[in-house]
Formats: sequence, structure tokens, C-alpha cells
Amino acid sequence: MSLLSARGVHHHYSRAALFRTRAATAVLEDVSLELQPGEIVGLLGRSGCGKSTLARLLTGLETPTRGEVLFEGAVLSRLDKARRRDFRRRVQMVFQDPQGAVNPRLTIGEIVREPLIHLTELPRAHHAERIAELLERAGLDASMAHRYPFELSGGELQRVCIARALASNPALIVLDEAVSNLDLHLQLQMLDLFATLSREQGVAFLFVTHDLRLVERVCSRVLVMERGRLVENAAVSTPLSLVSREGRALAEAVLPALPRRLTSARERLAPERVC
Amino acid sequence: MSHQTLNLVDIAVDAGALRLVDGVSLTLARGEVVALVGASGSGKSLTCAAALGALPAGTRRQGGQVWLDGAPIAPKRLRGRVVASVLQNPRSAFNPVRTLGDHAEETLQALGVEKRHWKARIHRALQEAGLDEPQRLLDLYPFEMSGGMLQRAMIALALASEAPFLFADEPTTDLDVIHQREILDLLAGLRERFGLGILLITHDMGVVARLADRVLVMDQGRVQESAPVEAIFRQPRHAVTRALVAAHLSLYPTQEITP
Repeated sequence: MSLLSARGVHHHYSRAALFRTRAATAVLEDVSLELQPGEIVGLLGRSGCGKSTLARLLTGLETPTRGEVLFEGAVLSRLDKARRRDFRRRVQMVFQDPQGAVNPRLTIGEIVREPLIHLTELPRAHHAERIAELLERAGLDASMAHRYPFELSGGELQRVCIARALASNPALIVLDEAVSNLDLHLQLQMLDLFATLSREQGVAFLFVTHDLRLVERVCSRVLVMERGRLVENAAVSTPLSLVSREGRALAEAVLPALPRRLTSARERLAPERVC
Repeated sequence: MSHQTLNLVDIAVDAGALRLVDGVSLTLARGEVVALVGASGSGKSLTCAAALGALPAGTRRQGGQVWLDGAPIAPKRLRGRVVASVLQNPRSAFNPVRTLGDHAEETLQALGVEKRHWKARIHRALQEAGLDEPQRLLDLYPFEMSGGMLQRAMIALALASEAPFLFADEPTTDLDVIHQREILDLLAGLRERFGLGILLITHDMGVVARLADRVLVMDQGRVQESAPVEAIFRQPRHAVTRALVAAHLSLYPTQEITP
């Protein structure tokens, strides 16, 4: 059974004006997808294509205007209290902007502890140890638990959010451009962490991004979105070849690996090997 | 636009007892793109802010000078007139309750441009930045524009100043790949057409590969390596440079790496 799926999901936002209702803007149109346990799926698209909205619907932060989101076959909006708590525990999300995703008055340790308190049965006596383990997993020093968000860099704080998402042992983590603002070596470190969690613990990831290079590196499958619709669903191979118009446009826009003079020198040597 | 060379000499910045930028010097000529690269916190943005006299609260410039065509120049005479700036996050760089037109007028007023020249200059700058329908755009508020449009608008304001140099601090980091490419193409075109000298601050070696002629690699407040862009990719010497290039190239599994 699929872990999480969407069936014919439509979504629109009605833009309220003071004296008249403006026409509703369709953000998602007829989106259907399935996420299997343990797989890393890329959701690729340019800004404004609806990928963040889809992520919010899949994590239950919003309810679709039409269509259904299902968690292990059960419609999300009709889960009973116990199943809803189970869903909250097992599906986590990390947002792009870490400053907006943490309470500035809490210490880092308290931020990571929140899911332990609300979503797990872990005895309080074990919290400190678990928090240290989670921070280290995300590449942070355990002593950071005593500090406050304003004392951390953006990259450190984002890794705190990743540690928090891991706290409840989720089955799926939705990453909404969650590594985009990190320096590249940290992005790669986080991608390696996600790959390890997927391989060793069967954690699934939905990796929302506009960067095809990252999809190619970590994902096993990619969904391409264009103007609120899914236009391609492809297995990821190396090199990744996409066939939809939007997929090709995103592939073409990837920044060059090397300066032009080095690339052209190489093209003269081995034209068929240069992408 | 007759100025030819800008020199930052021995720039140093402190925060309390901590030295954040430690004796950075660089030269930027008209028509060239110099990239200042390094991890976050390496001091690249502070170096530029110090040169322009725009350091954030809590930091102080402790030394160094800026020279224009061989003569020292005060930061406040540099800012806006000789060096225009483009910042990372276009949304936070605009006042949300003022239209693009208000911002353009403010820019030209601050530069002392005569009012009768404003309209023509703004329209021309918007079109050079790839924004059509200038009159309609000038009435828009920032929230009515996409991130890519706002970044173009910021470049247009820089062009309207007719400054010969541009400091671009992570100009594409917050944009999707399609807008990234458009903005980089635009900057490349402006260098060609107007001989703009661009100091490009970035952590993305893909941006460096696309646009830069020369590269300075910063770490812990110092320039650790400085070389033409081809040498940086082909023979990185410093450990920091090697790590940056290796991480970048690992994203291109099918790219041949050895020369």
C-alpha cells in the first residue's frame, strides 16, 4: 500500500477583496501521485508552479478544494483522533525558511524536544540523550542544545529543523526547498543523511526543489510540475533525461560545471562525453 | 562613466574583539567580472559592505581604503554613484508600501539627477534589464511582482544610476534555475554592452563558471587564493578552493573532470 497518495487534487485560493470577490486562482489542477515507503522522490518545478502548495496539502496543513489526500489508504480529512496523531508523528515537514519555523524564545534543545513530548512516548529522562543524538545526526554539536535560535547561522538553524523532523521517527519527511539556503557542502552532507535514513531505516522523502542536479544526486524518482499540473513522472537515471517540455527547460537552465573555455577545450577532445 | 579601475586595499572589519575581515585587497576593472567566493561567514559580504560604508550594526571597519583610478575615495562618494548594488533577497530590498516608480524616483533624486530626465532614464533602464511595459511596472507594488521580476527591477535601478561598477551579492541565490539563468545572462550582457565592472559575491561555483573572469576565494576573513577562473577549476591550490570545486563537480556525475 502507498504511504501517502493524492487523488485528483485541485486547489485554488480565492483572493478576497473588500467589495468584490476576485476570480479564484487555480494553483493545482488534477494532481494524482503515490509515495511508497522508503523512496526518495523529487518534486521539481520553477517558482510559482504549485509545488509548495502540493507539499502543504500532502502534510495536511491545508485541505484540497477538490480531490483527496490519503495516508496509508485512509482519507486525511476523515482520520479519527488516534490516526491523526499517528499521521502527525509519521509525516514531518521541513520548510525553506528556518527562522520562520522555530519559536525564537525556546532553546535549541527545547525546539527539538517538542515532538518528543507531543508525538512520542519516550520517557522524559531519556529526552536529553535523544536530543543530543538528533543534533549530531544533523551534523551539529550536541552542546548547541543550550543556545537560542538568534545565536545560530541560517544553515545551523535549518539543521536544527531537520533534527526536529527526525525526532518522532517519521516514515516520510517532506522537504520544501529545505536545503536550498545551505552552503553546497552542507547541502551534500544533508543529502547523504537523507539517503542513509532511506536505506537503513526506510524513511521516505519528498524532496521539493527547482535544482535538477540535486534530484539527480539523491532521488530515485522525479515528478515534474508545470503550472499546477504534474507533467512528468520518471525514474531517475544518470544522466537524468527528462522528456516533458518543462523538464527539459529545467535541465537546460542548470548552471555549467566548468568555465566555458575549459568546456570548449574538452569538447574538442571528446565531444560525445560532454553534456 | 569614465572611471576605469576600483581598488579595495587592505580592508579589515571587526565585531567587538573578533576580526571578521582581515586585510582583503582586490582590483576590479571596467568590463570584467571578479567573483568573491567562500562559505557563509567567510567575510565576503562584509568586505563589500565595508568598501561601501554600509556595514551592519555591531561591526566596524578597522582599516583599509578604496581607490578609484589611483586616488583614494570616501565610501559615501562611492555608493550609488560609482558602485551600484544588487542584493540577494529582492523582496527585503524594496519597501513593501511603495511602488517601483517611487523607488526609482528616490534613487534618481538621491543621485541628484534633474527631474526632467527621470522618466526617460527609468524607462530605458527597465528595458535594458529586460522588463517590458515600463509604465505599467512602475505602478506595481513589490508584492505584485515575482522574485525574478524584482531582481530585474533591482538591476534596473542599478543601471539607472549609470554607475560604472556593480556589486552583486548572491544575486541569484533565491531564484529558481530558470530565473537564475536569465539574470546571469542579463549581467553578462550588461558587461558586454556597457563595460560594467562586476564584483560577484557567491557561494555557487556554477555561477562562477558561468560569469567570472577572475576568482578570489575567501575563508576566515582572508583571501586564500586568487586566480583566473580556468585555473581555479583546473588547478585549485588552496584546500578551501579544492573543497569548493570538488563539491560543485560532484553534482555533475557525467562531467569529465580531469583535464
